[in-house]
Amino acid sequence: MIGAAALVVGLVLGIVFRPTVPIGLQPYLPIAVVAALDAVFGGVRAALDGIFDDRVFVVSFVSNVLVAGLIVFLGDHLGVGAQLSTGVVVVLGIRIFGNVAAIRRHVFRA
Amino acid sequence: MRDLLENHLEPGYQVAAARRSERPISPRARRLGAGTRVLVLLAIGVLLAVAYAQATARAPQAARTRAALADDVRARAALTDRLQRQATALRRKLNEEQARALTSSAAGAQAVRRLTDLDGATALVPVRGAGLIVTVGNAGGTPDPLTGVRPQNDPTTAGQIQDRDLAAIVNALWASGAEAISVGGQRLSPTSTIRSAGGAILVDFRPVSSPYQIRVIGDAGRMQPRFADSKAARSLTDFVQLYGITFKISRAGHLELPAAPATTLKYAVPSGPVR
Repeated sequence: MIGAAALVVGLVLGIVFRPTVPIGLQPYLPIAVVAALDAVFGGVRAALDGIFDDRVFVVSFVSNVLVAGLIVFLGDHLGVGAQLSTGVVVVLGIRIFGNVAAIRRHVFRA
Repeated sequence: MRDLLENHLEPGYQVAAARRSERPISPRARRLGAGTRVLVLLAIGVLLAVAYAQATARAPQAARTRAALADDVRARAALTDRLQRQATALRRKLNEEQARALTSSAAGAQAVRRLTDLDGATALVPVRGAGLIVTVGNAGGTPDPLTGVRPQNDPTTAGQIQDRDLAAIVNALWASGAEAISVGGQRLSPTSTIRSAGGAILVDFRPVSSPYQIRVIGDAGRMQPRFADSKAARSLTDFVQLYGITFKISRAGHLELPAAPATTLKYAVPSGPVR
């Protein structure tokens, strides 16, 4: 519950203060968003399964964002940034879908 | 791959749960964990908001710029049209005044005739008369296999009329004895240009589009065979077969051509008094 409140407060803060993203970091923003969504849905599912753990949640979020960013950064320098971005989005997208499906089963029993 | 498709949850959650069941964690560690969780969720919220702001700020910016540019172009085109009409009207008034002032003497009347001829030849005034209409158009392209619609004005396909094709037609028409020509409604003056910018063809910097209608005033009986025998017309006839462009010559009993945008001499000065 407190987590949901923190998420909403973060959204409001972001909308009110409109922090600008440095130009150099802008290509990583979409990837970071997908990684963050993966961590959030993973955490919600774990909570519904009754096995949520703060440390796992925090570490998985930070490492997801860092690794996704690193892969895209490397890809950009090797000239395959677009392909690697697609790869990251596909992998994280599959996990998001799977976790959302599990949440749905928990909530609707269907 | 299989792991990716079947295990969507971080395996760490299971491991942590197992560890916890063996050894319960202290309340202090629990509070610390809740604090970091809140911090991370705050950060995620800010991240989502920023990404949203970025996405909405970027897309409409491009659309706004394009719309503003299009408005600008339309406004300027309307303005030049209005100024052009104004210039033509003033020109006509000037010619009338000139004629009235000069027709008192025989020499003056002759000068008026000569001026009127020159004005017509240099496209300073609208002209009318009999002549030809030459129509060329882009090839339709291959029909879309799903919809059966032929793509129009697709600049990537072959069979597009180029600026040099129009220029060649116009040159051949002048050579065949044309006295006045307009391309897509734009009268050609001695300094007119036909060139392309991007996918569009510009006649005196005004865009014209396919099918291009070229109106010619002159002796149709003499011009038609001469033009049909010209290199430009022969190669266009070949292109009809090769690429499927459209190319048609027809006679017209009555044509009216507008005046061309007035040209002002910047460097040349007429030598000697005008007679």
